[in-house]
Amino acid sequence: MDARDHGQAMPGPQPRALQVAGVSQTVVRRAAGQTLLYGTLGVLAVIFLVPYLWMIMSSVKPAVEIFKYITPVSWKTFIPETFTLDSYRELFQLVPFPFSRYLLNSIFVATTVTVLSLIVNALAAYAFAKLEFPGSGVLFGVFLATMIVPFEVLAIPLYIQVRSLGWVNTYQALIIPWVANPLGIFLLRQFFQEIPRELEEAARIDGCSYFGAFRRVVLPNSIPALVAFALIRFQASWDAFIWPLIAAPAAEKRVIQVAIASFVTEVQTRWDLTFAASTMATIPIVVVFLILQRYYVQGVIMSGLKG
Amino acid sequence: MLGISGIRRQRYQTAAAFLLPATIGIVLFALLPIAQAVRISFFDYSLLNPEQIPVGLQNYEQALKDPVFQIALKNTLWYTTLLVIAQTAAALGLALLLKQQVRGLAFFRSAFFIPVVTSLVVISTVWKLMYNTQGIINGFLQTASLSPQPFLTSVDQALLSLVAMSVWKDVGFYMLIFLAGLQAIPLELYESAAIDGASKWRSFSRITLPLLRRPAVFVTVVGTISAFKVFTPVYLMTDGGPADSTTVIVFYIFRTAFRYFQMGYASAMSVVLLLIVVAFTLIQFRLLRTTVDY
Repeated sequence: MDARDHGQAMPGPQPRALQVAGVSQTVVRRAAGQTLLYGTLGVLAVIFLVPYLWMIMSSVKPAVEIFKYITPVSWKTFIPETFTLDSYRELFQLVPFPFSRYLLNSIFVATTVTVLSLIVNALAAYAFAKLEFPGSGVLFGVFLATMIVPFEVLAIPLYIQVRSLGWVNTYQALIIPWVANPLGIFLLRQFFQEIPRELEEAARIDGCSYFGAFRRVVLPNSIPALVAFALIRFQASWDAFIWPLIAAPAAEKRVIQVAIASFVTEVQTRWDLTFAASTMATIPIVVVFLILQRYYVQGVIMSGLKG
Repeated sequence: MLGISGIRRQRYQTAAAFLLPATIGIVLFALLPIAQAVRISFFDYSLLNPEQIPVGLQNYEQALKDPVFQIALKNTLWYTTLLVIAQTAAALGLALLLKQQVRGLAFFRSAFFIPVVTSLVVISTVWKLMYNTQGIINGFLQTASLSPQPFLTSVDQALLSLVAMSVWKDVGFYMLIFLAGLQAIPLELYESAAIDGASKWRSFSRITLPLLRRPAVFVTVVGTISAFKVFTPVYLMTDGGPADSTTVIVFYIFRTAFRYFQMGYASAMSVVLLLIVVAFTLIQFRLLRTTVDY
C-alpha cells in the first residue's frame, strides 16, 4: 500500500499499476481497502476512548446506577438515567480536607517545578551551548549519565536524605529534588546550539551582558523548545506518584495522584467519588495537551529519537 | 577595556554562575543518592532503628536466596518480555495504519495518544474498575455471550491483565516514534521500487523495515527499561497479588523499604535493578552507534 499511496500523493509520473490495471478493478480493490482501514481505525478509536467515556459518564451518575446497567452493554451503560453532580459536590466537602486542597497542592507543585526547572536548566543549557569553558564535555557527560539511573533506585536514599533535612510532608520535598533535569539541559542545549552566533554577538556588541544576550536573544528564539520542555516537566510532575507517596503522604500535603490512590486503597471504595476525582485529574491535562499538541509531539520526538 | 584573558575569565565566571543551580541539584539529588544507595546496601539499616551495622555482602546473599525476590525477578522478566513484544508490534501497526494518508489523521492520532498523557494512577484506578467482576470488560464479554473472567483476582490472568493495560497506555508514545521514523524515509525509495515492479510486501520488507532500525531499537530498549521499573499499576490494582503473582522488583523493593523498613536489603535490590538498567542502556548505545545512511 505504502509505495502506491506515496506515488499518488506526488505530482510526478503516475505509478505503473494505475495505468496498466483496469480502472474498475483498482477502484473496487481500493474501496475495500478503505473500508477495512477505516473499520480498523474505528474499532481502535473505540477501544482507546471507551474507558474515558465510562469514567466521565460514571462520574455524573448516582452511585447506585454505576454498575446497574453493565450487562448487557447498552446506551444505559454510559448515558446516565439521572444526571447528578453529587459526587463532585461531595468531593469538595470531604473531611478533613476537601478535594480542592489536593488539586491546589498538585497545581502549586507542578507549576513551581515547571517554572524553576525552565530557569535552572535553560541557564545550564546556555552555558553548555554557547560559553566554551574547560571541562564542559566531562561535566555534560556526568549530567547525562545520571539520566540512566532510574528514580526507583534513588527513592530510598532520597527519602533518607529528605528525612534528615526534616522535609518529610513539605512542599520542598516535592519540588526541590525535581528542578535540575539532565534531559531538559540536553534538549535545550541542542536547540540553543542552532541559534546563529551572529545574533548573539550583535547583542553583545550592543552592550548586553551574557545574561542579557541569553534573555533577549536566545530565549525568544527558543519558544518551541521551551514550551515542549515545560509541557514534559509539568506532566511529569502532575503524574508523579511514588515520590509523593513516600515523601508527603500526610493528608495536608497530599497531591492529587496520592489522593486518588487513597480512594482506592484506604477508603471503602467509593466508586462514584473515584470516578469524579479521576475525571478532574485527567481533563485539564488532556485539554492542555490537545491545545499544545504540536509542541508536545515535537518534544516527545526530540527526547525520543535524539535521547 | 578587557584583554583577551579578561574576556575569557568573564566567560568562565558566567558559565560557572549559570551552571551552579543545576549542578547543586544534580549533585544533591542524583549523584549523592546513587552513592548512598550503594553504601546502604552494605549495611543492616532499619528506619525504626537508627543504628547502621555493616554486614558486607550479606544483603546481596539474602537477595540470591530470597524466594520472593526470585519470583519478583521472574514476574518482571515475564511482564517486560510480553509487554515489549506486544507494544512494539502494536505501535508499528498503528504507525503504518496512520501512514496511509488517513482522513481524520489528527483525531485518530490524538485518540491513541491520550492515554500517554493521562496519569498512570488514574489509568490504573479506572482499569481496576473495568477489570472488576462486575466491570465493563466483563459486561462486553457477557454481551457477546462469552463467560466472564476473573482478571486481576486470578493467579493466571493478573499479570497478563496488567500487560494489556500497559500496552493500551503506552502504545501511542511508541507509535509517534515509529511515525517520525516512517516520515524520515525518502519517498523516492518507494517510487523507484515501484518503478522496478517491487510488490508492496517487498518494498515493506526491503525498504521500510530496515530503515526503521533506529526507532525500533529505541522503542524496544526504552520499552524494556520502563517495563522493568513498573510499580504503580501493581501497587494500585493487585498489591502484588494474588499469591505474589504480580509482585515485581520495584514493588518488592518498595514493600521491603517502606512496609518492613529494611533499607539495607531494599538498597541491595535497588543496586541489582540499577545494574540491569545500565546494562540495557549500554546495549542501546551500542546498537544505535552504527547508523544507516540513506
